[in-house]
Amino acid sequence: MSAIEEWASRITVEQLDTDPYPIYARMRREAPVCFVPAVGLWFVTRWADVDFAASHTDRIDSAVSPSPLNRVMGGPSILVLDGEPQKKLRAMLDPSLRPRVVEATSPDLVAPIVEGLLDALADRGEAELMSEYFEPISVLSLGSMLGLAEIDGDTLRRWFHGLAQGAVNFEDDPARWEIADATGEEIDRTLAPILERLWEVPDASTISTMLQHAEGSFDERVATILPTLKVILLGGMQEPGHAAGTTVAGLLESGQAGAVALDPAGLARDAIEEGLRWVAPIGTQTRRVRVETELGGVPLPVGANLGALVSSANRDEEVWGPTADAYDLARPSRNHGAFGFGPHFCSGHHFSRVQMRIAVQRLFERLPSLRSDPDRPPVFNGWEFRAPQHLHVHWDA
Amino acid sequence: MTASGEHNVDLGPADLADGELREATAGGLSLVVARVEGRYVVFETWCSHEECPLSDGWLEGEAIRCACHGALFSLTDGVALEGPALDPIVVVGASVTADGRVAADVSTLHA
Repeated sequence: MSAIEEWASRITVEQLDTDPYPIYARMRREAPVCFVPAVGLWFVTRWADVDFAASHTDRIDSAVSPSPLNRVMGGPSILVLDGEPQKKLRAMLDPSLRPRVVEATSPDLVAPIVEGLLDALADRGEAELMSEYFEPISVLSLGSMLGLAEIDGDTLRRWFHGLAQGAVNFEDDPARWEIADATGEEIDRTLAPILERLWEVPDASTISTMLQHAEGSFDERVATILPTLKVILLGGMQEPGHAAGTTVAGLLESGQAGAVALDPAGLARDAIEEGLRWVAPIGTQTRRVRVETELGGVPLPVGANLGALVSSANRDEEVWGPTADAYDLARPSRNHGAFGFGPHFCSGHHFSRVQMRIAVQRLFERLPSLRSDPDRPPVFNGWEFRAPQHLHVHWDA
Repeated sequence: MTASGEHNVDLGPADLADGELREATAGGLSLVVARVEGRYVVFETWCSHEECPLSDGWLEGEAIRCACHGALFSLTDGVALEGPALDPIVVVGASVTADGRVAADVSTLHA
């Protein structure tokens, strides 16, 4: 065993959850494709290799086995399918997520949610922004678009937290499965009457559109779309809130919040894009080698499971320069990998971006004196999903 | 062809307002003519993601948004600012002739 292999064999999930970036940086330098026994994955760390792994489905596909995703989602979802089955599911989702539709409908949907939350916070002078602002915006905005406006924000937040326990469970922790399984069962029970109603009386919601575009009997259509709906209930509900929280944490930590406070409308977009790059809310696209492939100089056998680390690609010094680890509002704008590479690029990216921009812009417009709580600084956690666990702030009320 | 140079092509009247765009064709190329912050730019119409026509998109400041999947490209240098596109588009500067026409060197654009 080489020295780098021995080092990789000692990497723990706890170390990855605490701060994966120094681990990824060493891999990019010394072993850009590196097996990590703790999670059973070959980590792919450089931008070019991550792009290759996620884009060449003829050689590397999404059918990772074993994978926690099928169990969490209750069946094959859009995340683990390629080719025609994946295109069919995308075709069900895309109509409601096209940029022109998002631009026309999202501001009126998101703005009242944002203003209502800010109205409740404004006079307090302090808040924990993840649970009291960013996560509620994220779940209520998407919930409304999906056709789940009747489900309260606390329930939606509990759902994505519960599903996330299973989605990251590469180490097969029984405690995480207990939470994820119970959450999945609750979602199935709660959605059953809603799906029946939308089948009987279609509307413009995403769920209704998916039901209409699926094939077969009602039960067959539900079986087709439900795992993908759970992907949306997890990724679509968790990540915008996480990315927006990461953005504000980055601005506060780097002393650049004041610049955004002076020009929220002009700088919110740049701030969010840099936040998405700096700490991608979803860190990896997991893949399986279907044809023997050499990647990063490493011969990968058929069946090898890969973690194509978009979070590491977003810190690749070859692409982002020597300051890649820093949050820098003035970094020249270019596309990053936070929404993925290849055919599985996030179909909801535009809705997510519009939502985040409104949330961050209005936050700084209404609370321009926003500052960190020095006694409770943000603590980031996670490698598969990563975000501040809490974001305690003060402002002049 | 205008008299101003071998590769310069006439792309119609310079009558766009800031933020407006229109389709144009020249020498077999499908192009978009846009006016951005008082200057004219020209680019090929095909998004580098899945070749949707950028002429169906819209301008956002000094960038063009693809209507299909939301890719965003800089109209300063063509760089993909937002995915799903990774590859840039080719953008060329254009000028306004003395008789109020848009002209551009399109020799670096591809049919």
